[in-house]
Amino acid sequence: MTEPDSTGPRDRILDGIRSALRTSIVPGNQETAPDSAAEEAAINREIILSRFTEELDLLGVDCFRESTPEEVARRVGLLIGGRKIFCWDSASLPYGIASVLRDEQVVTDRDNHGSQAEAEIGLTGCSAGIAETGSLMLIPGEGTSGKNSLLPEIHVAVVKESDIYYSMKEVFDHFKQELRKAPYVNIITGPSRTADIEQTLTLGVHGPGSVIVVIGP
Amino acid sequence: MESFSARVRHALKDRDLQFALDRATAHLRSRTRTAFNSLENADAVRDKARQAKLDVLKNLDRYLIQFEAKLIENGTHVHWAETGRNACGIVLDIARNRDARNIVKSKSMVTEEIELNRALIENGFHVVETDLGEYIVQLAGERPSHIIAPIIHMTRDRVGRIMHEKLGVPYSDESETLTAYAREKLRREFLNADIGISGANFGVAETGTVCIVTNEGNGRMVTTLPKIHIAIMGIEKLVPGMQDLDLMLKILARSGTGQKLTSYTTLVNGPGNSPADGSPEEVHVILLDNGRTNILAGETAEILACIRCGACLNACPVYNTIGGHAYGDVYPGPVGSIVTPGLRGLAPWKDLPYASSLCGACREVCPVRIDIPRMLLSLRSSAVSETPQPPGIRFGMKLFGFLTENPDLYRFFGRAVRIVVRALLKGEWISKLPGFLDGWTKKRDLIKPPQESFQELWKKRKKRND
Repeated sequence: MTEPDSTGPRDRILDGIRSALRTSIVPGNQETAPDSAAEEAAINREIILSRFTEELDLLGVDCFRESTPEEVARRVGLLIGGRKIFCWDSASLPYGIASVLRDEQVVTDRDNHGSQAEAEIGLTGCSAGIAETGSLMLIPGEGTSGKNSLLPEIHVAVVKESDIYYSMKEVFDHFKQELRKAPYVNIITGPSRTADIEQTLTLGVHGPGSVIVVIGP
Repeated sequence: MESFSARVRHALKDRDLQFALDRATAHLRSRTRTAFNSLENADAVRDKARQAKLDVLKNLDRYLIQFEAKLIENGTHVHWAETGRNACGIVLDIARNRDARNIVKSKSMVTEEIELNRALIENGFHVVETDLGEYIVQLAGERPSHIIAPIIHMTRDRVGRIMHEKLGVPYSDESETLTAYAREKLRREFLNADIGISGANFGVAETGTVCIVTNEGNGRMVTTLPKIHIAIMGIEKLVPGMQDLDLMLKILARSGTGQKLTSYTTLVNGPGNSPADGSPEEVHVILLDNGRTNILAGETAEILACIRCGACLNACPVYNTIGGHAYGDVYPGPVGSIVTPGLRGLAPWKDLPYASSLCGACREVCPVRIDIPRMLLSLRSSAVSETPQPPGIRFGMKLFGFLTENPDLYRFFGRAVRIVVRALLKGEWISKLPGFLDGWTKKRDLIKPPQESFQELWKKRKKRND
């Protein structure tokens, strides 16, 4: 940790700003357009869920909705098959999914980025889903690194139905403390993509080119 | 560097550029329109976002102090840089002190502005751009020509040839193949990097959070894999709180690429506790002035509310004709025509405020409603009063001013000119005016003046109606 650097540049910049503000021409407050936003709280669960799955569909994210923990685990087992997995610690994975993973398919080295990047599938839970944009918010913690959802070519995320919110605004309010405490937070909206070359949509540049969501009860 | 008009002439002759621009900006404009249709209360969101940014500008010193305190509380190192050179020096010091050699960069306009790559390479560091477009720009030894689509000026054939020549990979013009080449090359760079450098889309004063958005994931990679992360941020990039960040995110991706949200929104709060959790051990934030205070002091302060979405470029008929490189500096398009003279001084860049027809399309699409045409006019006015004008122009302007203040004289002269010109003119168009007046017809034809002036028509009409 460093103390505020009070020699030189900091104070000169701040003084410069203060004197700039004396001559500055910044437009004053204007009337804002009426905001008739429907109160999100009033939106019912089914609407939230269907918006979430619609948005995922638009993003090209495959989405499965399962009604029991066993079905979630079975679905995840089917999705990953025998492929190499880089996943959250088994204790952190929801619905006891860890039971469908075989030891030899799981990357256990927590520090070696090279071996982590060789896994084909990253398997994670999810702190919150955002229906409005089809986004997944992942707050890292002990055993739940952001690397799981970044390095492999496929990301499988398991989301609890009750963790799906309508808007980002709501999520920012609800997770206020967690958002401050974590060293970083990722909000993932669909696969890694680029349109740099002649505006041609191409998936999987640096992050996963494919994202799969399993919604559990 | 060539003069502005020489750069424009070259751009107009570049057929690849013309073809690429036509397709790309039309595509982006239509995507943006569709994306805004999906936003409830879009007008209210834009108004509120604008207010938040203007509030930051009016209280910039206080918000910066708040942001700094939070960053320090979160364990982040804070540096202040008055100039681009100072900022590069800070990065070099960090890199030397930590014995770093390999540096990966995510897409950032501010690092282009301060020519960070050049400073790093000159000092023996290995630095790689990791945004696909920026990577290709770096391989080609060029500059990005659009704020969010760096290689908007290149055809895929050209991209294929650049990669073939510079990387020794088989030629291809398929985006998918070219992207796969980049993924493979850059993945190795990420894994071997000692330092990751990013810009910052937003800084949240209330929490000390740096927000970085990317579609490819390069922003996540540079903030996740290397042990050290350095974020370079213009001092104007702050928003007051998280709810303001929500507003900004709603409009940024929509205006930029026509997405509801960028693929990856990364909120960086500070260093982590263990490398296993995927966060760097050390986080630095460099707060950069580099001329921003000068902008804040004057009539173009409002441009500091810009969130760099690039929508004004796509909307601008001039940008669509001349492309980004003709503007001559890092920030092209309408926003660049205000930012560049502000950051670098008006005298060498006095042509830029004229690179506009003042049609107002930029103001209309700007998600935070920045009044770009007003500021272009104000810069034109400063440019004229700063440069001594030739006596002919001074006399002409004085005469015109005098006439406009004397309506009878004005009408008399107008009438005289119309009668004389109509008598002498054969066709419908005047392609060359005599003497010094030729300056006007060098670049455009003048249509034959009408028989009656607007005022005369109006009077007649009123009489008829009375």
